[in-house]
Amino acid sequence: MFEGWEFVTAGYGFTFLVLAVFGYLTVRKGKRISREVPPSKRRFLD
Amino acid sequence: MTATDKNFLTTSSKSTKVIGSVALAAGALTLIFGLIVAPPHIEQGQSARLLFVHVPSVIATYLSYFITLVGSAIYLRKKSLFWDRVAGASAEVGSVFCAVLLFSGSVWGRPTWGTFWVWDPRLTSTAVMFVSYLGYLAIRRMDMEPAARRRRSAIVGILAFVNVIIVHFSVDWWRGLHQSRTFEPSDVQIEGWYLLSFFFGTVFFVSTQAWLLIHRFRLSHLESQANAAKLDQLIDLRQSGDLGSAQTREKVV
Amino acid sequence: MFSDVRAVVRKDFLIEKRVGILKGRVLPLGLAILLVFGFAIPPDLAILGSERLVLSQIGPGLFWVSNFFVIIYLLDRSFSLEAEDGCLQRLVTDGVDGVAFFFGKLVAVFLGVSAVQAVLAVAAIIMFDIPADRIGLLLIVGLVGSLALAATGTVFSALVVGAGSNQGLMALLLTPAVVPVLLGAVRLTEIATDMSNDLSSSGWILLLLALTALYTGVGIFTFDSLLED
Repeated sequence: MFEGWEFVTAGYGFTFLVLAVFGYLTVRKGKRISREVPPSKRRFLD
Repeated sequence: MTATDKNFLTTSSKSTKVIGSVALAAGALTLIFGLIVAPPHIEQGQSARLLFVHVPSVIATYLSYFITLVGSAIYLRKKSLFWDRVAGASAEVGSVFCAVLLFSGSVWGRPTWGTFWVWDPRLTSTAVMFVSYLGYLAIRRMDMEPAARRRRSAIVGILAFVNVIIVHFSVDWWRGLHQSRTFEPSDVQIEGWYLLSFFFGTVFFVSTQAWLLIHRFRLSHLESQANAAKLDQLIDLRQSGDLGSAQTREKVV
Repeated sequence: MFSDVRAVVRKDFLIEKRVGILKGRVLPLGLAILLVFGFAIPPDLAILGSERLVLSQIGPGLFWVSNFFVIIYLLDRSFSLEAEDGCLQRLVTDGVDGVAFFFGKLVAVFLGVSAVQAVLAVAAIIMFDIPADRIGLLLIVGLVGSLALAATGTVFSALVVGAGSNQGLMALLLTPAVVPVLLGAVRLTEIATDMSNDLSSSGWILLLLALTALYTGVGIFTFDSLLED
């Protein structure tokens, strides 16, 4: 009845890790690529 | 370089910082309430805690793919780059959530059903949906004239949404192992700490989705600007007759 | 309109007559795939209490999966020919519209798949020992199934035609899309070959016809713009 923590750990671990890594890589790539864009064209559509 | 220039060297802005803070707070609350405060389930034990990330990941996946559908449809009507990029960015984010959804469901299934995977209608159709959107992301990168590629991607982006509808109704159409929709007036009542944990999980996933979507959108915008800038540079080099040297070429590309 | 459709079909038929891709490559590939499936499942494996061997029971599924592999190859051939040497532009300048082109390709693919499928079906029935007493029913199932396969495949092949390197891309798009088609065709074939089963499950036929209608609609709607690209 009180087992199952290993599955909970795996599920939560995977979820938070994947989202964090995806977010981190996105931000990092964004920083790298914005250097290659001339400042006048760097603005987004917001 | 001035301070304002520096602000543009990233895909984040004031709005994403606000959304990101909400996501982080909701993520922390999900962990606290889902892992500590909520008691273990009477039948499922600790593993029921997985539902606090599993069910919200379904919501985030559906929402992302729905945005892809809307973006594709608007692109076909208006031919606006904005909506094409929204559709693409949302499918990227949705597929990450779909991977989370498959994984969290799988580790929940092991203690509950005794197996990581069953060939149940909902699981099977979810896997098919996942692969369909990987196909959509692949066609977006196909080697073709950009306007034609965008149009064809939009058609696939609309067709792929059929999968989402199949996944959603699969539990009604075919009988399988997967329990019916969680938020449905049925014999299963969700209340107390469980409801609160679900709430924080949902806020966490939806705000993370919005945050990721904005960042991916800006990234794809920057990517195309960077490619255009490279092309301009190469054209300039060619006009100045300097393209012959491999060194200059390498510097640009 | 109908003469345009006929012209497109005739063109593909002439190409087949000259080059013989269907009987020279597609059909042998299909037979080879059936053989490989035969090796994957032990020939004397049986489920307790069941009269038929496992290979015979899952034969309909193996048959349709090999059909699917065959159609991927066939579509790849059929549409890469269109992209070569400005074939498509020529069709446009000759005044063939998208709808006629779609139906022409659909008919050509359907005829090609049906022809190959007929031979594969005989091979599967013999090799896997599938009961085939209800020949009329099997024929209908085969035709409806390959029509649905052809419609789905034609739409997705057209979407990637003209891409610089599209190997694998069409297969990746088509495979998930074709799952409901295969599911319906396999279930129907199982019903038609299982003597104990009654024939009340008409839902799968409706599913296949609905999918055919859906992809035909998508083809009619999109092919004009695809030809312009």
